[in-house]
Amino acid sequence: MSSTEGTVQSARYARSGVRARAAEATVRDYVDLLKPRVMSLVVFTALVGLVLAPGELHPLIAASAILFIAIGAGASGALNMWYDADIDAVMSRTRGRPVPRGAVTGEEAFTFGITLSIGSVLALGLFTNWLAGGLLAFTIFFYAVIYTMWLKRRTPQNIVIGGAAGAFPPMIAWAAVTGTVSLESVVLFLIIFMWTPPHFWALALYKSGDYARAGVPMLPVVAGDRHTLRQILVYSLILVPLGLVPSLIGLAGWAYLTTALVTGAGWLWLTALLMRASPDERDSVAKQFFGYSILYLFALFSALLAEVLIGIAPFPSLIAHGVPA
Amino acid sequence: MTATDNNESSVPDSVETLEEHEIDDRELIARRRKRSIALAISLGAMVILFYALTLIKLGPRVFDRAL
Repeated sequence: MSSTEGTVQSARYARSGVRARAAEATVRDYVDLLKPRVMSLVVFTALVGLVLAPGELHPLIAASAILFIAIGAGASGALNMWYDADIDAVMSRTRGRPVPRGAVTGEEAFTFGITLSIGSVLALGLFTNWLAGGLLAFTIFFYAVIYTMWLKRRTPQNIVIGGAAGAFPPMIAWAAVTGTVSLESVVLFLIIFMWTPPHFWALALYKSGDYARAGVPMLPVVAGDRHTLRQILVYSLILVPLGLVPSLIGLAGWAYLTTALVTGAGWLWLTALLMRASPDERDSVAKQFFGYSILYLFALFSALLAEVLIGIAPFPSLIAHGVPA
Repeated sequence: MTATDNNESSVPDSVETLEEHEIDDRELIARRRKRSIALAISLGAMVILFYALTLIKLGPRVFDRAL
């Protein structure tokens, strides 16, 4: 085939939108399918779970466990983008994603997601243990099927239940080291689980138009701002005390406790600001709250990690030794 | 519809459009090459990683085979 014929051929494909689309994807598009920003949070929280867990793991196996957890999380992101391409196309925040943009076809995103899902679960199971592999498989299933396909378009509680998927990584990493699911890893899970709804509801408050256009029943869309604010308050009042629990169960010491108290106070102060903000100010305060929520979670997990690296001893567990008289 | 009609509907109408598509073609080939290189590097890294992990996991037993 001459170069002119090839050019004409590609023009035909470009018009028909069939084969040319498949050839247009860049490496970056495939990386974007893995939701690298979400993946960075997964890597960080899983790393903390891995470092805190009692037990030993060869450094290369430990690093690989984090890699496999990250790939599994990324794979569920690709499956989410495959399924949600129609609603992603109408939301300003997501319309630049590879599938709605046409850089990657839905079929390619699906194949990419499934391949990486199976590969990451098998690799984690083989090189650490099958509890960790099973938890990773469940996380991918939970995010791609329970959240994306079932809950997201049906109930305003989508993010409450679906948020569990993002909370599993430290528990998976803990299981990779210890082969068990213990109270400590459940507490790490619960902190992220309770953090997720107020974090996303703050986003939904200033992006409610987007969600309404896409037909996603986020809380501000179906129940209004006032109800959403009350829910944010309820979750905040549970989250901030929960943030202190690692210091009570022998998982963290004074540095973490100080961080949790200071950042928790900041969280409650911002919640109060959000509750009292006038409708005109609400979007701007919700943006601040959303940004602060990321900082809060990062601070808590950084403090846990720093204590281990610096060598700050955790407080004795109140559960193991009983509450002092 | 004649063959000519078909050509008219699917072939770019002007030389300028053809040139644009020629540039696109080169760009597409470059992207495909980058994807292939990324895939090759990923597969190579995976092979090395799995080899190393297998050695670590099995330890000296990896060479301890009954003949």
